Amino acid sequence: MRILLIEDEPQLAGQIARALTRADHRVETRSDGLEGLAAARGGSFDLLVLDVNLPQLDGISLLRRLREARNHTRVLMLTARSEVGDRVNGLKAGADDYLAKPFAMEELLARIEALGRRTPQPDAVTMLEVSDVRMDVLGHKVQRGGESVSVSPREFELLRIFMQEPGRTFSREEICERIWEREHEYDTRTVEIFVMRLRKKLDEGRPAPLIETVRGVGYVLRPTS
Amino acid sequence: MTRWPLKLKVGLYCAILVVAGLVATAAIMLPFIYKSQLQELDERLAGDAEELFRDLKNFAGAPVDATKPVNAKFIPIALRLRYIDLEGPNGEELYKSPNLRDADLRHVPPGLHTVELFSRKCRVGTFKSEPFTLHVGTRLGTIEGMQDDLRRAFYFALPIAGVVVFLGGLLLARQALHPITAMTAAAERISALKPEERLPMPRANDEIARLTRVLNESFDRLQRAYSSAARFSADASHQLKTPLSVLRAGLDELRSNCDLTPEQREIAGVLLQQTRRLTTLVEDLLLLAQADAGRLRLNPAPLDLVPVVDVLLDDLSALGAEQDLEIERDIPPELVARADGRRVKIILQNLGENAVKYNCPSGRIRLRGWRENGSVFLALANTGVPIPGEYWERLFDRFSRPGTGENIKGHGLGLNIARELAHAHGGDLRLARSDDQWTEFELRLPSE
Repeated sequence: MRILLIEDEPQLAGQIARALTRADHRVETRSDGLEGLAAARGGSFDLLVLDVNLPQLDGISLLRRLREARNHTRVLMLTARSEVGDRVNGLKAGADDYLAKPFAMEELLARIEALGRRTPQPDAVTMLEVSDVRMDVLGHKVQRGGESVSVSPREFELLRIFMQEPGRTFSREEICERIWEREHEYDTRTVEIFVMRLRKKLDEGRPAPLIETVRGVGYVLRPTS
Repeated sequence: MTRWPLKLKVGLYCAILVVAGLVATAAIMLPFIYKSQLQELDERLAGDAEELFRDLKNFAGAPVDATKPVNAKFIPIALRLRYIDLEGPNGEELYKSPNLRDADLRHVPPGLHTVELFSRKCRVGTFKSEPFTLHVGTRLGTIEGMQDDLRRAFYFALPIAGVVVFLGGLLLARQALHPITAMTAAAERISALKPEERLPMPRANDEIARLTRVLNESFDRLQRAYSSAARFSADASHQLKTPLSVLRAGLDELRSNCDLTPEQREIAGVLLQQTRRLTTLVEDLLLLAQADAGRLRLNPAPLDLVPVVDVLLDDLSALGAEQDLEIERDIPPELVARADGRRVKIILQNLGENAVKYNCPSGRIRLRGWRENGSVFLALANTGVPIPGEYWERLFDRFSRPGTGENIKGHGLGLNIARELAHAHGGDLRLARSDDQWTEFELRLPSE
């Protein structure tokens, strides 16, 4: 994908650009709002990664001007988490997604992938199916091999993370961040406990675990062909 | 009495003052009237004596014999109602009025005196005019009766005057306090949401106008201080988040490097965890700064606490797994509060973590929920060492972790934040009990 990154903090811009490049995207970077707007209007980008706080012209105004000019490039907004107003304003101004700072790079890449594939928002999916596991997202129900499995709220959230992106390896830290918005005493040990419980419920009587451990990295749910 | 409204107090004070004034007036007036009437009476008695003496000394051209009893016809008609006792030069009784019957007035010393006669008060004057000594007396009935009448009139007037003045005082005070009432209403409108509003200036240039001016100036200063503090916290938060984002992204970049040894990978993991911790701390401080500035914005909506509580208990079951904690749940099937879901989760998370942290091995956690008087209550209790009474309030102070060892994790803001958030909802958070059985925190939220 061709991505335009508009971020005024040079180090962060460099880190994001490198991560995106490693993920085989082509990245251009701008460091202030006006330059960013000019670049967005001039070039043909698949996606804009846009910081809210920018010199010259802030991210929300930039986006508003872009949309007024009938430019419908998809936009991922970066903002400070506690400023709920930012999110509302950003989405009103026409952002397609929003990510709170500081964020996990894996999360940014996953969101960019999702926007690039033009897949609907993961939240809008109501049924998930990987191998012989079915998940009714709205009804909070899980089945394996046609038999229903009762899971606790956190076990459900954990399984959903794996089922939304089968085959992807998640680190314990990322799972932690996805489930618990705020850092607390909930460390990676808690993730291990929930994975253990989930395995116990899902793998009953089966030789291989559904959720595999990737040594030194994390966990993965691999779809069987 | 300090809790009574001012106008009631003004009315009451007025009534008390008027009643006291009346009582004082009565206390001065009555003896004064009594005395002046007595003086008048004394003068009349002296006049009577003078008249009698004149008659005795010059009756039909010659004085009366001072050694023989005096005939009743010598006594002037005007004196027939008086008590009269006439003595001769050697103390012999010359005349005694029949109304004295067997009593006599001879023991009364010279001058004017009030004596008791036939168990009634009488005024008796003893006058000398050689060779006669005259004792003339009269009953004090009229004067005493007037005193009684006056006293009765006062007793009757006191309550009426008191009530009338009280009501009048109430009315006057209400009128006088009207600008204050209006000012209070205006001041209540000035809040964090409408900080630019000011008290309306009254038209008259009186004391109230001066107070209004002074208050408005204070409001201006406060608003400036508040907005600069709020701006500072917002700026600080942004300034802190940028380096945190760089740190965060840098650590992610480092970890995605495949050449790391397991030790290096673990160090990066620890640093990442600490970066997240720092992020949460920055957010907590921002939240408290907003709460202090009255700028904590909530998005309250009907919120069923049952699923929220179930998620919390799920977390606690994992958190407390190593301590082998037993969890009890006593929640009605539906418990709807009017609250901001994100903030309520923070409150419960903070309480839940404490319930695990300060628990004893193989201890218990109990969560109860109920509705009462238009509020929704959640009470989270844990076993463990009870909190000493003197720490109960300090427990909610910022960065205070009284009575806990240094080996317990956390930055000491959890309970303070939880309480600020509860208050922002119009609810409360308190320590309901802490004894050998349970340490229980009780959260109250407005009901939907």
